[in-house]
Amino acid sequence: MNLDVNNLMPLFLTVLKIFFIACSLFYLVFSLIVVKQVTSMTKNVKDKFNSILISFSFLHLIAAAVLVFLIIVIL
Amino acid sequence: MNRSKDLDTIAPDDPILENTETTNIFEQEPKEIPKINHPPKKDEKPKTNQKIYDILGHTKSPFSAFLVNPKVFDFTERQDKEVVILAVRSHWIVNLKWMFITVFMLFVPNIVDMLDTLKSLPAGYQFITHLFWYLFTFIYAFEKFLDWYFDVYILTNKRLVDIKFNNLINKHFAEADIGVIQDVSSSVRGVLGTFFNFGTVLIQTASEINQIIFKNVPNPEKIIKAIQELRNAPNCSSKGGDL
Repeated sequence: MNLDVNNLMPLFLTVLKIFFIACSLFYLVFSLIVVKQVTSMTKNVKDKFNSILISFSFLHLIAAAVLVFLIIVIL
Repeated sequence: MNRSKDLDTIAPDDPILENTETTNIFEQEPKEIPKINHPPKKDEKPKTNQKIYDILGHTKSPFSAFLVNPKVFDFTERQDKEVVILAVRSHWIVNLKWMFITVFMLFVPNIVDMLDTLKSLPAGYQFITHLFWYLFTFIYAFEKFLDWYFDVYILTNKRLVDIKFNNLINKHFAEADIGVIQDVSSSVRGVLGTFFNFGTVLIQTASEINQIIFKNVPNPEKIIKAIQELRNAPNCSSKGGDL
């Protein structure tokens, strides 16, 4: 059987795309958990910079959602 | 019969006294007025409390890991009339390790580009890989920061509290009343510990949680003195001092 690298490339890229989509979806779920945890922690311990930390966690969530979108659009 | 010259102060029928001394009240030395013990005002801090604040000093920066009498700081388990005297986090120097790792992680995509490792992939894939990596770097640093920020040791007028969050999921809460504290010891180790004055404070208690450890806290000697002062407070009972 003759295996050509050029023929395998599209298959590899498809597998890679599916892998990226799966990873980004997991990451999106993880970033949701981070938001939930940061909110919970800030409720437990109140300090000056809590609002900044919550904002960061939400920014991270938005970035994770943008990543999923970009993977679907670009790849 | 002699009569008093001062008819305003003596009645007409009073016997007249011979040679009455007249003294000028302005020449008299002022008598000491006895001091009246006023009850302390509401805003006034009790002496023991003030003594503890004198030991601990003042917090200059809101970013400090050693927050004396914090105004904004609070925690869910705080009881009514419980005052937070000190909130301590680990010394900021313990964050250096993950900070260095984060900086290194930021340069990893540049190193990968220099080695042409991803060159065989299309540009879009390279871009997404980089984006993924930067997000991963961010969350690594953010988690480490949260881990430091929310691990707090609190000294109140009633008890010692240790709040920890492990891996952002598990919460650990330990407390010990001031009255059940038996021994307090501290250790400052290593060059960094000696140079930046941070160490571990070990508090042995007679309660179920037999010890509470404040790890890598700044000014351990001040913390010990403050705890001792709280223990020696006159109204410190098994339920803690009510300052």
